[in-house]
Amino acid sequence: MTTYRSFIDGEWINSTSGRTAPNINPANIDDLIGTIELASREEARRAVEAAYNAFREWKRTPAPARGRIVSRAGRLMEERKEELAQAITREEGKTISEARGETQRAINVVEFCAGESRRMNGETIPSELPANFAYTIYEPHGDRDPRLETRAGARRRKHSRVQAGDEHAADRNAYDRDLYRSGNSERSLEHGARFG
Amino acid sequence: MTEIFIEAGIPKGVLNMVLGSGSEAGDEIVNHPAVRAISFTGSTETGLKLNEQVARRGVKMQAEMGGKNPVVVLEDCDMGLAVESTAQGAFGSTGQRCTATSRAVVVDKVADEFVRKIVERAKSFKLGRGDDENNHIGPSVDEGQFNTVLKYIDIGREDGAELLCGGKRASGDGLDNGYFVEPTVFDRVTPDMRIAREEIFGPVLSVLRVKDFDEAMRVANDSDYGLSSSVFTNDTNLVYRFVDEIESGMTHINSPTTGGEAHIPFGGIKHTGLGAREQGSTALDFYTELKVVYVDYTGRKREGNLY
Repeated sequence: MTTYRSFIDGEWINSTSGRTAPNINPANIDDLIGTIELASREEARRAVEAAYNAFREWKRTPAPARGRIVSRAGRLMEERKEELAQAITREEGKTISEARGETQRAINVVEFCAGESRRMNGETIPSELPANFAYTIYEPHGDRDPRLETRAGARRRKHSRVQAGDEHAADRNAYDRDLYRSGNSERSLEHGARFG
Repeated sequence: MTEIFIEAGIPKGVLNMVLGSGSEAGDEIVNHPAVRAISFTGSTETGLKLNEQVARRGVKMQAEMGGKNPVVVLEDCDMGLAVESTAQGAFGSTGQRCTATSRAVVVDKVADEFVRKIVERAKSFKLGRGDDENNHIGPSVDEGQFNTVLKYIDIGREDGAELLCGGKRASGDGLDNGYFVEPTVFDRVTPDMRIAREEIFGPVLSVLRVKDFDEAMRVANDSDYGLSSSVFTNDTNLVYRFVDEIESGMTHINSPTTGGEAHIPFGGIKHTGLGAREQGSTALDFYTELKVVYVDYTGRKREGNLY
């Protein structure tokens, strides 16, 4: 029997909430597939803060480099398609043909998104003034809030796991400088992965 | 799926999966000041409440909520196609899709024929475990949903709709241990009945009889929801009138109400949808911000006040 855990800040965690929920096959309620460990409020908060802390590097990773990860995930989904479909059928009760269809649809969504990463085009708009123009760029939605920086930082110091991440603070500043110097997407992806 | 993204190289912290209850873990996430966008799929009640809760923080929100998707069956349709597509939309995935068909609005002239054939088709499905390829319809997803479906069937009966088939838990032949409900058809449902208004999310179809196209449109649009819809007709003029008049985010011509393709915007209007559509080009609008950059390469101070 499987235990389902949350994945927070790059780790599968054992919840401290002590609460669980069963994962039951609805076509045969004697088939207990596994037990889900339900996350506590504190764990949910840590997930948000992990995402917040990862946002800066991820935003600066060029879209096609982010897309390459998504594309790789699509290929892995394709390889594990039957396994995913069987899991859907066992957990949700869908017929296997519906589950295969759902999995294919998910692969299609992933493929579309990966492709779009190379088409994040803005537009160039002429001005009515000479020697003026405007252009548009699409940036990832989200922002950095200095008040949160302090709060997240304080919390980070409290958690030993995240503390280890703080050792990279100097690297991170160097990374910021390098990024604008090199402009190399391969390199920045590696860099992003290193902090990851 | 999380394992797959880890293997694909997603950096630490970019993808987090939190398994928990909405009232605790969910509540903590949506109320955290660092969260700047929420994409939600679930009930209208929860979605609207959530929207109200986060609006004060200026959080961008996208919600995909309830549905009560109609098919409109007109007298000059291909009846075989209309019946098969309605059955597929209503009973496929055990009716548990936000785009599932839950109302059939049928003009009087062909209503008897439609009802006879849809009941015949509903009875022909084989229920059972999804991993047996011979089965057509699986169970409700869990005990709560199973009870909701049975409750709505009781409500339909009490409100005076005519139960033509199904209407109970399916039993025997390996079904007793699962949450199986027989495909159910109610006839002579009126727009004020709860089974015509509320989302059931189960294999239950309500047939509403109408006298003509105009009444069909009034009845089809008499809903708080507006996700998907279908029309069955071979009259091109009526097809385009239907497209103009139907109040739904997506509509299908001579095809089931269910589904949507991966590269095409997906979502609804009225109490179904909120914010930018999911999927396709509009999904990018939700997850990005547009920045406008003005460039002045005159090297001089800006002239005039037209800005």
